[in-house]
Amino acid sequence: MKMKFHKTLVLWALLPLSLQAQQVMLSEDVAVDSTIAKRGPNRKHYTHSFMSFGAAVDAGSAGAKVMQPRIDYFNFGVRYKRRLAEHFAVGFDMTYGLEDYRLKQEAGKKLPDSLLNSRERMIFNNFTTGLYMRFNFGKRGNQLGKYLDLGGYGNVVFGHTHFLKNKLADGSTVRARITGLNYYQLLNYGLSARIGLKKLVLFGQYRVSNMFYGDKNLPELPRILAGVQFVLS
Amino acid sequence: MQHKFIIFLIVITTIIHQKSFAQIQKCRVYFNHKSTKNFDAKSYFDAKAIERRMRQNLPLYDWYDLPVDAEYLQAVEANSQRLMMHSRWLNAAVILASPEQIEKIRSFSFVDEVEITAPQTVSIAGTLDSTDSDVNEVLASQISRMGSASMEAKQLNGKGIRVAIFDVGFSGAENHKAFEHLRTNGRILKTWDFVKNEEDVYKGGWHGTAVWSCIGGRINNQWSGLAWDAEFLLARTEIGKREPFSEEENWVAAAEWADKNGADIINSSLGYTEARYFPEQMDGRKTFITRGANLAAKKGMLVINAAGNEGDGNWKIIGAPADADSVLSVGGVEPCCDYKISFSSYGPTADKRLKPNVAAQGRALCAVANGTNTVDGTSFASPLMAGFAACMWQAYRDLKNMEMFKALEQSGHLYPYYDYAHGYGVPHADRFKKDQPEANHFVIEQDPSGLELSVKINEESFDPAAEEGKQLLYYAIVRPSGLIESYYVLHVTERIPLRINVNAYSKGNIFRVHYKGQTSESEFK
Repeated sequence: MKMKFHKTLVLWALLPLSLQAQQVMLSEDVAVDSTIAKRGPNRKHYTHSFMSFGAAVDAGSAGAKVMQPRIDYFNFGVRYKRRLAEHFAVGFDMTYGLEDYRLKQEAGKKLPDSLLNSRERMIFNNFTTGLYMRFNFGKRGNQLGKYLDLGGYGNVVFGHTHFLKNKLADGSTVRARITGLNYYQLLNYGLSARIGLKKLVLFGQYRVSNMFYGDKNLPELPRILAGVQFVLS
Repeated sequence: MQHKFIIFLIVITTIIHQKSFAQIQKCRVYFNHKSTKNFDAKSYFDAKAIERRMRQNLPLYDWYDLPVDAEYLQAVEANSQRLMMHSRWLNAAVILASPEQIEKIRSFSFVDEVEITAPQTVSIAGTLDSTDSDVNEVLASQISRMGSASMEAKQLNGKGIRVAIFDVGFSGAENHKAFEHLRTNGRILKTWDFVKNEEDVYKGGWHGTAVWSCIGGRINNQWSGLAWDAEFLLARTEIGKREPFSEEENWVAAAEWADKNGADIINSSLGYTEARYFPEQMDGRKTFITRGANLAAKKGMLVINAAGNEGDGNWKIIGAPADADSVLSVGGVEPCCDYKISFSSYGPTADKRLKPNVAAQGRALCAVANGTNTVDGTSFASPLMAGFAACMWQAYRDLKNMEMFKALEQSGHLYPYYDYAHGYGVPHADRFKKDQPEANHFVIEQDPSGLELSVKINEESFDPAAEEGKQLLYYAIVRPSGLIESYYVLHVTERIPLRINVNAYSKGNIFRVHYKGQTSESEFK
């Protein structure tokens, strides 16, 4: 109780203005110092979230062809940028990503087996960390401006699901969802590039690593993804 | 597969290369010397420009007026892709050149500095959506609040004053009824499009049309601006939505043109902020346009600029060239009342100078391309002020431009009180160059313990039924240097509207209050 009383006193002392009989139309505190902000799109540090949608550029290896065109990729993440010079910055990002490929059902299919189904999808959930260098172009104020990012990424696939859908002779449909599979690599890595104009970015990424264990002899899903990214805040 | 990715990278890099990394760069080349030979000021300047200089005791010409050395220009042109423009005042040329050419130009003994610029978008301190305010009320108040009746009685209408307007374009103005009296009386002296280097300025957008109507237009059989008999020079300096740095160069070229053609006042309802600059660069020195605006003032012209519409945005403060110390920056107030309209940009400048300097109505009924419309923006407060200034200069023709600047501030409804939202407030003809009677509406009282200061309003100065926003008390906490730490506007609903705890403020700071024309202050001890 005593503590509360003291707190009330302190609050009263800190309250510079009586609120009595006031209808405040305007209230402004002026930044009286000349401190230069360190955070912002073209400041020393900048952090923002982003969201991307992409599609496979290549169709995948023989035996693992995917349906195109289709939105195969979505991610959501946070990116940090450290400005080192007016036209150069480095940074990293962390994202949750979802890759969802619909496999073509055609002769010669090998992934994950040669059985043909009515529909077949492979979905991978991952956490990705990327490192990049940013080259900015043009004189600008506190804005992202025009830029080119070049970098690499590594991800951990934390979930893989194989979906099957088949129509049976009696007209019924059977759906299967298979998890806990043992033929995909847990870790992947690749190269990435982005070109951006303010908050709109076009991105491309190339997966260098193989998605599946070598001893499984499985053909590769598409290695190149490209799409559009939106800087959210 | 790897090859495909490499091809993809090459393709996007090539695209950017073509768009942004173009080897040809735009630069401003500043020269370190000028030749004083072969300049005939009398043939260069319009008679009105010479008259302005004589009236303000300015030299007929100075170093800034001398042309850029033709040999320098030739040398730079020969070693660049294109010579785009040059400025006498800034002794500079704007060119397109390759990195090799830039290096060569840098090595010339007569080159002081080469500044590389690049296209960027900017925000014009301009038009917001039209509103549903009562049109006639807006039209009536936009000039009456500055004393239009009083000016009409004295036949003040800007006659003999030459006003240059820099804007994005004057679409529809060539045939608009709002300017018929100006066309009929031959008040449109010259026009120039600095973007396309041609005479036609009646294109590019209606923003300039609306701005012009706030200086000297006639709408619904009423004047929409005060200086309806002034002379006009119309310049197009803005490109529009894709607005590169060259607009600042156009602005400076237009200012030199306005000077040469005898302008007394420049109205510029534009501003450059976040797309090009950082807030700390709004110090009245850094930007090209600000330097040009200060030079325009040096030539005896009164430069009036909109404070900007960033007050409720991230940028918040005034832009360039409203940051220039010799530019009269105009904030916006509500049509109903004497407090800041929400979007009007705040001061102070980065180096803590007072901005905006004054305020005018931030919502106006204007001429637009196909008729009239009520529009919001400090873009329209600025020309309303320009019209007022033209009338006052007509009445006090012997004032120098910076004396006019000061007199405009002193006629503000808040003067000598000021803050960073309203400056000295809205000027009025009846306060212009006149000592104000001492008002006695309130007292600042200290309680016996010395811990509290309160403002007590006299009974006869208090209206308990006053409409919201019509009975305002302004107060600020001011450092001895004059820098305001915080400021407020209250709508007064009681005779003691304010008590403050003295201990919360530093000793030596000043508690300054303004109410109904009275400004009083008390020092924290």
